[in-house]
Amino acid sequence: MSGVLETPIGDDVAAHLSRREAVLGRVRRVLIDKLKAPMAPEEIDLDAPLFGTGIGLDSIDAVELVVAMEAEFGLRLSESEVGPWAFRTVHAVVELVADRIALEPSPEGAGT
Amino acid sequence: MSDLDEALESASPGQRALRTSAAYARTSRAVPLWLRGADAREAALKVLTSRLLLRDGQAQQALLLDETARPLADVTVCADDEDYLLVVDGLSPADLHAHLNQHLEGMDVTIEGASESHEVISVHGPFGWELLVEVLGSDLMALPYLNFFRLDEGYALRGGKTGEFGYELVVHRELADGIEQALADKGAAFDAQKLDADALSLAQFEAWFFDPQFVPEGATPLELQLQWRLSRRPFVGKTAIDGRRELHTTQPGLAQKLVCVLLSDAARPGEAVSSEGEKVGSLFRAERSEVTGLWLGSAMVSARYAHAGLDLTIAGVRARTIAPPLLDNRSLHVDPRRHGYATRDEITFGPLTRHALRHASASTAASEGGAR
Amino acid sequence: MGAVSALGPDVSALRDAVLAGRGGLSPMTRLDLRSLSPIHLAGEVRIEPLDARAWALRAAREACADAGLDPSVGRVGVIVGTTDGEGAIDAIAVALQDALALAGPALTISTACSSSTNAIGLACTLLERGELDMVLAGGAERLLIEMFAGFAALGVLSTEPCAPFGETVGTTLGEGAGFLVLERAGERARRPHGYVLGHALSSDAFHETSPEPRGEGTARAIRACLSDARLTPGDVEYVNAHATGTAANDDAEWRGIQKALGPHALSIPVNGSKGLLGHAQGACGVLEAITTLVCMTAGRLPPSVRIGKGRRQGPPHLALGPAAPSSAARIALTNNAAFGGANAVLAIGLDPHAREARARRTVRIAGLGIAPSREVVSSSEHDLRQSDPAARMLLSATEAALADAGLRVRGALRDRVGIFAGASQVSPFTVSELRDSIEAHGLARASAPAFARAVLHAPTGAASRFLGLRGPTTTLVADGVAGVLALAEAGALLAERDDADWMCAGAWDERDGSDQRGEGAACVVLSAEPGPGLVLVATAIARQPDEAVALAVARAALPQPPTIVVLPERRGGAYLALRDLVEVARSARSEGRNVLVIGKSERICVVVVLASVSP
Repeated sequence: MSGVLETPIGDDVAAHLSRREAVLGRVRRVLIDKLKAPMAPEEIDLDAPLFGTGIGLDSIDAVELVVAMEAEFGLRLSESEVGPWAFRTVHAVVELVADRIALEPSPEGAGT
Repeated sequence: MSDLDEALESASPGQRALRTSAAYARTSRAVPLWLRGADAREAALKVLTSRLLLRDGQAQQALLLDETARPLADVTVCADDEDYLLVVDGLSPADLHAHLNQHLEGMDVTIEGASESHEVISVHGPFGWELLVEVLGSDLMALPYLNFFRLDEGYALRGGKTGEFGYELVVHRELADGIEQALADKGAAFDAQKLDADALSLAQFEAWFFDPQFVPEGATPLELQLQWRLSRRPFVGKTAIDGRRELHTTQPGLAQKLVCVLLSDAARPGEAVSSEGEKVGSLFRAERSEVTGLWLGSAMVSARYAHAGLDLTIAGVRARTIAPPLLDNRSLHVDPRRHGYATRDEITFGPLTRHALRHASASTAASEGGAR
Repeated sequence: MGAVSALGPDVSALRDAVLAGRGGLSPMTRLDLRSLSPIHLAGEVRIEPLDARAWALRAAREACADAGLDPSVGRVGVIVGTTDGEGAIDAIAVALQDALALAGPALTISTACSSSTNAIGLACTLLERGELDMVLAGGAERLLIEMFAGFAALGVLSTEPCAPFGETVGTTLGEGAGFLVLERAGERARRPHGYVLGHALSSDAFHETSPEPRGEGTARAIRACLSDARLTPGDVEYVNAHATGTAANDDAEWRGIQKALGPHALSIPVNGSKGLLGHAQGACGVLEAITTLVCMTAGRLPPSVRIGKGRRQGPPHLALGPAAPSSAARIALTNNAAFGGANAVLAIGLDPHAREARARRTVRIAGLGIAPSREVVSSSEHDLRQSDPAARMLLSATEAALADAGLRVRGALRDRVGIFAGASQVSPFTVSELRDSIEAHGLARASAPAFARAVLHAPTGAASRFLGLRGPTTTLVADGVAGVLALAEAGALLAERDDADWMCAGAWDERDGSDQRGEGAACVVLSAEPGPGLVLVATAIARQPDEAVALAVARAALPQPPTIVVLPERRGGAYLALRDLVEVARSARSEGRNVLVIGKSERICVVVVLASVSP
């Protein structure tokens, strides 16, 4: 498989990717530390489903997930506002959080 | 969103039924097979990639790999008492048996092929569950996701390759015609349609469910973002995966990922994918989603770029990475305990997709570039 | 009968309210639910003093007076069903035993929402066996803010008054206490309110909180209850369902009722009483049984309320409204389900119904297993992501005992293997997790997974779920000897009933903090199938050891007196006494001896007699 040349990325793109990667890192940690996902961070792919299959969360974990993400990122993310698609995959959560952080600049996460 | 309404209206009946009511298919791609015997679990753990922490009645999505970690098949594995029912997509019965025989030699396991004795009929759509209730009985609406029921007719498995209410019925061969007829008869009340293999393939792509017919050269579950299907125990292909992980750790620039892209127009597989004028990968697959009118694609790109929200160019066509799946199925809003097809007007459905590609000209794309 | 509920301070108030269709759901005043808004309703009890112990005592006294009984005279025991108790889970049973000066034993059943139904069934078992002359059986529960937080986190609370099988989806919590005085029929001239014709238990073995969606667990329990009562489905004239009002419960339960009763289910009234009483959790079973009985006695049925458009494919005959003509019933079923999947059913009748005794079966100890600490790793076949040390230890011990017994639980056998367990307090790990979540994020963000595990039956439910044990199930608290009690009752069930062929009898304790001494789980597998191993020849339960021993010796009728072993008395806990018994059993087995084992405490004494089978 051919590798891709290491090319310098433009600022906008670099910033976008780095923001998303940072959010991904934190979402992975929340899944492992708070939702007890039984895998290492790098084993959690962006496109992994969250519920039922993929990471394998259960309906009981739904509120837990929202609470943990809210606590980590200092956001209000109630499901009724964002729709049932928002928590289907890791990628969906990363997008949701990244968009909201962009709209509501706040201190880097409240943590727990 | 009248663009979406128009697209849905002009989609083929099969695609429209799949996304608004119910649909069924009788394809020969799914090969059922049982692993039985004292070593059944050990055998399943060896050839399948997944962890198999399953109770009787539960199912899980796994992969069948070759020694190079290339995915050969998508497998839904069901814990059938102490046996394992595998519904395998991607290998012919003969090739499947050859693969299993090779790797399970010496184990106390019976490989009971069921492609002669059984047939797989699939049912789809936001009201697929309701059609199934009509054909197989009221209990079917209580079938949880990734579970299966044993019925007189065979096995009813809910696995969801095209959406949340996706079912595979592994039925005795002599009953298959009758069941298809029943689906057609009862399906009339659901405006149900029978689907062919191509229609299913598109639907599966829109649901971003792994399709073994579309595996890029040299791709492993790592590139395909399917690590969640992998256990940490030894299985056929594990060594190659470990080697690939090692490589990506020492040479991260070589890591690639399969990502989901939206295109503003058709493009050919193989075309270069560029970000800000630099090649970052290549287009692997592109299809037009009939029900949305959008062009959906998959591309292998440098792992760094595997995030949604990137503006790309593919052979002059404007594209953007998105978080898959493309569709927000109507099934997300359907509650079988409260809803029914006949009273679907009472349900508030969201738009079929959140995504739309801004229709900019090619020249604008070249000068803008960059992220949103 | 005695009852303290949202409908009033006694049975009379409950009866009047129910017959008038007057419910007791109103905005909660005692607890501040503002942070859970718009959740605000409850079936609140406003009888002072406001604690479950006081309500239990009040209801128990009412029941004794109603029965013309001085509870301090004769062999009178108490069995309390409760989720949280008061301070400690067994505090209510202890308080009643003291306040009423009972000469009989006190024990607690804690299987969440099926606790008091379960308690009534166990009371009947003890009475039939001759352990006791009378039993106060029922339950009590006081609402705590954590319960609202937990149920809200699970998304099952309604913002409107709940409507079992009705248009509104969701449940409304309630509280209260209820007791029945049960005695063997015909022993006193006094006319009873009714009869418990039969009872049964089963385990869903499906999920921590959701019922098995096809109602298979409920169906199993109902069939077993009918068999116990020697009734047919056609004999049942009314079903008082658990019917919490949630989508999951009502749908699954109605499926189960139909599976067990067949087409007949469509021709009889089926409804639930939680729309009047609220969901009183540990007390709901007894309060609903009392509700059913007082109505049947009046030639009426408990009415449904707020049905509205009802549910798709719900029961067709709901006994709507107080004024609607409802056919009188003389035989009814009352059903309850619970977190962890513990189902309990009673058959209640206005007339006695003869039952010939079944042939007793010989019960043997088929396997033994110990998990001496939380470090033990059970087999790698189970998804233990959301588990606590208690569940993992009990699972491990049970797996070990099943392996020792050479029993592979598979196929149809799953329906024939049950699990009884003894414990004393909810897993400290889980309690901490729940409390921490509330402290860190507030009531509205309590941890649903932790709450689901915060019932005493949760580890038993987990073992049942992972191992596919779908037979009878219960979790007991009994002052240090709960594990021995679980063994005794599991053995008695196998000997006297036919709804299981194997029973796991376990016990666990999980410690708090860094000192994990005394922590662990033990399990004994009992079998009614012939085979090798010690025979469980006799069991006896009483408050005083002399009484229990005398009873056990008489029942065992061994040619030679057995060796007497007195287990060290322990305050609280359950695991160590059962572990000691396992050790005694092991040496008795290897030495070919007969032993009489005494597990005693201040509140109850359990004696089991084990005999070596001659080769």
